[in-house]
Amino acid sequence: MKFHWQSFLLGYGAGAGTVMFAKHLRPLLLEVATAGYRFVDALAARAAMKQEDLEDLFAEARAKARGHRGTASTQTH
Amino acid sequence: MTVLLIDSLVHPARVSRHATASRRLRLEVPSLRGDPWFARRLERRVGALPGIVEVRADPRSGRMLLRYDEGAPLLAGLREEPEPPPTRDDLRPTEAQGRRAWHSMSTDDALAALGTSREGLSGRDAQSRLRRFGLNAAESAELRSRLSILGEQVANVPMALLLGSAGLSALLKEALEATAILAVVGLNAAIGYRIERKNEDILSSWRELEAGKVDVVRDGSLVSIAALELVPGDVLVCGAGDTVPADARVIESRRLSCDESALTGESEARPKADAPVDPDAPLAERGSMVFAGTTVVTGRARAVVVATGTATQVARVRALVEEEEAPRPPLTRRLESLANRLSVASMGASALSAAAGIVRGHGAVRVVRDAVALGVAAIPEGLPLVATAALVRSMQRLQEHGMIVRRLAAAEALGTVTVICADKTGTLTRNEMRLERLEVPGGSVDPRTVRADPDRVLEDPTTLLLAAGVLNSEVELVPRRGRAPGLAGSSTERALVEAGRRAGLDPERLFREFPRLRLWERREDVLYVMSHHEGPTGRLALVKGAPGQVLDLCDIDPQERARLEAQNSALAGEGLRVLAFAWKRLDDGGGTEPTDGFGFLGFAGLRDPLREGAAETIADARDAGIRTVILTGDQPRTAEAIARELGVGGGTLLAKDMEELDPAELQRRLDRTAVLARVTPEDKLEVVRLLQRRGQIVAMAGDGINDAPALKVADVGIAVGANATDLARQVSDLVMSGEDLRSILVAVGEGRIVQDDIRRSLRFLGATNLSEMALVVGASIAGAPSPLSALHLLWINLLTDTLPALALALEPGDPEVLDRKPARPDEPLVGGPELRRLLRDGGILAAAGAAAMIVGGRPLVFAALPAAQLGYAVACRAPRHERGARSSAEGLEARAEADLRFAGMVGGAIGLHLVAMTVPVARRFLGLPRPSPLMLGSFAAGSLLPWILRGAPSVEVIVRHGTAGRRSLPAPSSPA
Repeated sequence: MKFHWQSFLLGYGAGAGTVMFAKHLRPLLLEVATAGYRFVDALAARAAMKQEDLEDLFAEARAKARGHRGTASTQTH
Repeated sequence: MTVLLIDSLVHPARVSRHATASRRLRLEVPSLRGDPWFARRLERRVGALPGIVEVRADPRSGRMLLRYDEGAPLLAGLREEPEPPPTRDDLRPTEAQGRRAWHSMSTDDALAALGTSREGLSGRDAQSRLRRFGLNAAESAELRSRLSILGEQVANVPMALLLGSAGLSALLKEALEATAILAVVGLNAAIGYRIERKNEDILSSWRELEAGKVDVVRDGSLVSIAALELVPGDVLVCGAGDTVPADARVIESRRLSCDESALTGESEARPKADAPVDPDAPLAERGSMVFAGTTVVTGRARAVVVATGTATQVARVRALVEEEEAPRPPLTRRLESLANRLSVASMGASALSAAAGIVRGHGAVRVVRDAVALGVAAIPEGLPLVATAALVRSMQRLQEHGMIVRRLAAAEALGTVTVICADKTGTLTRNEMRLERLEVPGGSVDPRTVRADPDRVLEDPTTLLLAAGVLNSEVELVPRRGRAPGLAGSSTERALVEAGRRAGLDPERLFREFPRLRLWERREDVLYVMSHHEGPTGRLALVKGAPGQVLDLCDIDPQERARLEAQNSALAGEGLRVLAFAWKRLDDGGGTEPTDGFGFLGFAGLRDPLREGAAETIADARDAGIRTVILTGDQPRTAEAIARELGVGGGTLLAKDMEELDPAELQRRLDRTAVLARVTPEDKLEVVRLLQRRGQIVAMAGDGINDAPALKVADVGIAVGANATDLARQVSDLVMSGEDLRSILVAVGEGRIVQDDIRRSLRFLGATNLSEMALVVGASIAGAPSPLSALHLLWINLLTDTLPALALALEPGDPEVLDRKPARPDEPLVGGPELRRLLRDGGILAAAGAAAMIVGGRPLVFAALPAAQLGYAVACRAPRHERGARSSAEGLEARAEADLRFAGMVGGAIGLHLVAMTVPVARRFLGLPRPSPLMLGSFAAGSLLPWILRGAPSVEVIVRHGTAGRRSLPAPSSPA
C-alpha cells in the first residue's frame, strides 16, 4: 500500500489538535451541550403544555355537550 | 396562592385552569419541572385524598391534572376563577420589605412590623422565613458565557457574507473553496474567542466568594449562622471590623460608626444610632440604618434585619447595572459601519456582475460562481484578524502597565476619550487617612521622620502628642479570616495610631503604663474626645478634637490663641483635616469631665492622600485634550480641596442642583463643571449619559459599588486599584491591578496608537481588495473570463490580509501621540484625503492586474497582482519619525525591531506566494501551470510597482495645481 503522506499529515494534525485544544474546547462544548439540552427541554415542555391544553379543551367540550352541571371555566393566559 | 404540603415541605402552586363542568383542575407546580420522582410522589399522595378520581403530574410541563368527584371536600372551597399570575411582590417579597421607610420608624415599631422582638426569631420561624424570602444572596453580574463570546466573533456582517459565500460554494459543489472560506471564518473566530476568554478567566479568578458566618440572636441566645441564611426579622450582632451582611435597622448601639464609602462614596465613617431619622433623609444620612456591603468601623450594635438578598441597597445598585447596556465601543461601531458599506458594495458589484453575465448569456453556474468570487474579493477577510492583533498587542502592553483589558475593543476606545469622569474616594485618593503635619509649640515636625521617646512620654511634648493620639483612640486589633490581623477603627484614629507606631511608640506598652479609666466621646455639641488615664505620677486627661473647642479648654493668652487660630486656618487652607491636642494633670481623681486648665500640645494635620500619579495624570490628560470631572458622594468642600490639589479647574455642582436645573441649562453647566458633589450612583450614571449626549466619549474611573452603573454605561469603564469591589471589576472594560493612575494615560496613548495602526491597515486592505473587485467586475462587464477564481482570490486575500496587514497593525506608535487632540468620535476610519489615496492606489493596482491579464492570462495575474500588493505594504508604513523617538536609544531599538518584523512578515508572505507558484502540490490545488520566466518576471515587476506609487502625485495636487508649480509631496502613508 502506498503511503499517502497528505492523509497521514491530516490525521496526525487532527489528533494533535484535538489533544492540544481539548482543554480549551471542553468548557465550550459543555456550554453548547447545556444550551442544547435546555432548548430541547423547553421544546418538550411547550409541546406537553399544548397537548394538555388540547386535552382540557376536548374534556370541557365533552362535558358541556353531554349536559354536565356547572359553568364554563375561564382560562389563564 | 395555592400551596402543596408534601413531606413537610411547602411547594407553591398556581391554578392554571379549573373547569367545574368537567371537574378538572390543572395546577402549575414549579418544583415539579424536570423531577419525575416528585411527579410520582405527588400522584401517589394527592391521589389518596378523598374525592380525587385521577391525578396526573407531568415533569415536562411542570403541571398537574386533578379530576375529582362531585362534592370533593378538598376542592369544595376552591374558586373557579384561576389565580392571576404572581406579581413582583409575590415573587420577591423581600423587595417590598426593603422599600419601607425603616429608618424613620422607632425601634419598637420596626420590630413589630417585622414580627420579631429583641430576643430574635425562633428557629422554626427563621426556617419558614428562609423558605419564603430565599437565601441572603445578591445575584452577581455574570461573566460572559463562552458561547456568547464565540457568538460575538461571528455575529457580524462580513462573517455572514463569508458564510454565505461558503454556502454558495458548497451548493456549487466547490468543496475546496467552501472549506477554505470556513477555515478563515473559524480562524478569526478562534483567535478572538481565545483572547477574550483568557481575560475573563483572569477576572473570574479575582472574585472572592464570601460565605462568612454572622452572629444573630435566636430564641434569646446568641448563635452563629451562615450569612446566606439571614432573614428579615433576625437580630444581628455586629462589631468593629465586621462587614454588614444585610440591610438592618439599628436597635441598640455603642459608639457605632460605619464606612459606607463603597455604597455612597462618603470618605468619612458615618456615626450610627437607634434614633429614627427624617423619612426623606438620603441614603448617606440614614443614621439609624446599616447597609449590606458596608463595614463597621467602631463600636458594637444590635440591628434587626429588614432586607436581604435582592432587596438590599447593594442589590438595587446591581439591578441598576443590569438594566443598563454597555455602549458599543467606537471602533466596533465604525468597523461595523465600514463592513456594512463594503457588504452593500459587494452585493451591488455582484448584482452588476450577474446582470452583465446574464446579458451575455452566461449560465447560472458561472453567474453564481462569479458572485461568490466577488463576495470573497470584496470582504477583507483579514480585517477582523488585523483589528484583533492590534488590540491584542495593545492589550499586552497595557498588561505590562498593570491594566487588564476585559473587552478588547475598549483598548481602542480609549484613544477617542474626551472626558474622564473620576470617582474621588478610593480612585483619585487612597481612601486611607495619613498624618501629614505635626505642629507643636516648638515648631513644625515631620511625622515621617520624627522619633518619639517612649521613656519620657510626659516630658517630651512631641512624644506626648503622639501618645495622646494612641491613648485617646478606640482603634482595636481585629482578626481577619485568611489575612493578618488589622486595625479597626475610624480612618483618622488609625492614622494617628500608625503615626505613633512609626515614631517608635508601642500602643500595648502605652496602655500598660497609662491605663484608661474613662472615655468621653464626641457628641452633637462637644466636638472632642476626652480620656482619663492613670499615669506613673498621677492621673491625667487627654483631649483631641476640633481646634476651636480644644483651645477653649486651654489656659492660653489671647495673643497666643490668635496665633494658634491662624496656624489652624493655614493648615485647613491646605486641605488638611486638623485636630488639636491638649492635656492636663487631674487633681480631683478624674471623676468629672474638666472644661479648663488644659495645656495645649499641638495640631495634627491629616489627609486622605492622592493616589500615585493622580496629579500628573490629570495634567497629562489636559495636555492630551481630555477634560476631567470629579464625581463624589463626599461634601463639596472636601472635593474642591482635592480638585485644587489636582489642578482641576472649573465649578462645583451639587446633586440637588442637578435636579433643579432644566436639561438645557444643566448641559451648559456641565461643560464648565469640574466637581460634582453629594452624588448618588444614579446621579453618576446620569452625568455620564448627559456627557455622552453632548457627543463626548466618556471614560469612567471608579472602584466602588456606587460607581458600577456609571462604569457600565461609560464608553470605557476603568476599575481602579487592587481594592476595587467585585462588581466594579465585573462591569468595567479595563481593570487596573496596580495603584498608579498614570497607567490610565498610558492606556489612552495605546488607544490612539491602535487607531493609527488600524487606519494604516485599513488603507492597505481597502486598496488591495478594491483592486481585486475592480478586476473581477471589469472583466465581467467586458465579457472576459474572471481573471482570478474564488480560490485564487481567497489565497491572495489570506496572504495579503494577514502577514503584511498584520505587520502594519503592529507598528510602534508615534511617541508624541498624546500631544494631539483626540480624534473626533464621528471621524470615519478612512475618509477625505485618505479615501482618495486609497481609490487612486487601488485603481493603479487593478490596472497592473488588467495589464497582466492581457499579456499572460490568469497565471500572470496570479503572479503579478499579489507581488504588487505586497510591495504596496511598504508604501503604507508610517513615516520614520513616527516609528519611535528620533534619538533615544529606546526609540531606535523600537524602530529597528519594527523594521525587522515588517521585513520578516512581508518576506514571509513573498516566500509563501513563491511556494504557491512553484511547488507542484500547491500549484495543483490552485490550478496553476508550471511557472514560466514570464510569470516570475511579472512577480518581480509587480513588486517594484509600489516604489513607483510612492513617487506618484496625489490626486488632490493634480486637480488643484495642474502641471506647473507642483508642491513637494508627502509620502503617501500618514494617517489623517
